[in-house]
Amino acid sequence: MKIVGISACPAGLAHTPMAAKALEKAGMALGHDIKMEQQGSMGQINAITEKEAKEADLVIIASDQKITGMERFAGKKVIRVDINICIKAPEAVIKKCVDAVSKE
Amino acid sequence: MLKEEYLFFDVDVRTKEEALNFISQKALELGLTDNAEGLKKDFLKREEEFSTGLQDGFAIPHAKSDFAKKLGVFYVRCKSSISGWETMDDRAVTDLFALIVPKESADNEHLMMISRLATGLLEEEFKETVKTASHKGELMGYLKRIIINEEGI
Repeated sequence: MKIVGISACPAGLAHTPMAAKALEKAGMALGHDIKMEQQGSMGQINAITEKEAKEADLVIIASDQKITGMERFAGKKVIRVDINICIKAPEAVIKKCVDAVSKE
Repeated sequence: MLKEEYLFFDVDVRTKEEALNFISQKALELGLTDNAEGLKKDFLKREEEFSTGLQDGFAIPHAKSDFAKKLGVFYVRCKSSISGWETMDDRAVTDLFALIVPKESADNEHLMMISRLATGLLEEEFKETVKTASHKGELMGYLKRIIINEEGI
């Protein structure tokens, strides 16, 4: 499955890159094509392009913060998840999100 | 941002409050802040949003603060575990990486180093190496290799 996503936390220092990396690693381990954008203290890192957004089967937003550029994902299945869970149990998050999309 | 004098072993703090007190006080002594109390408040404010406790005994308290004059990363290894610090795996906190970050002047290069340090905490090998390092010089060398490595770990 093609997965894109965005992580963001209040300070944008630690949890943002941790969640992005954890999800990318878990996604790849589960055989998915995954790219996570970080919206943290350095602005947008590893930004999801319009083309990548269009091709995605699933969008994971690991944040309770305001996310910029959500219009890229218009019409896509977007799932919001708690950023801490993404660090703690990234594989479970990916599996659950993939299941949710597959069922539709 | 990372110096041998920023590494603390066998620190006797028992609560989150005591740990943040210790960090803020050291930041004052080392010239990273002029206002230890203000810095501590900013750490606490961040903790209130959600706990910075991670897994395997690590926590990563951080403050982007007007009271931070210079960017610094402290490592604090506690003598005994800290009670009441909420973590993701419910294990008690024993090892802290504290990030002291000025609100305005932190540049991307330093923020990238912080990012590499944080993602290092996802790796078993990193956590084990940090926890078991017995010499500050050795730990310093290891941490520098991690945070300067362009590829991350």
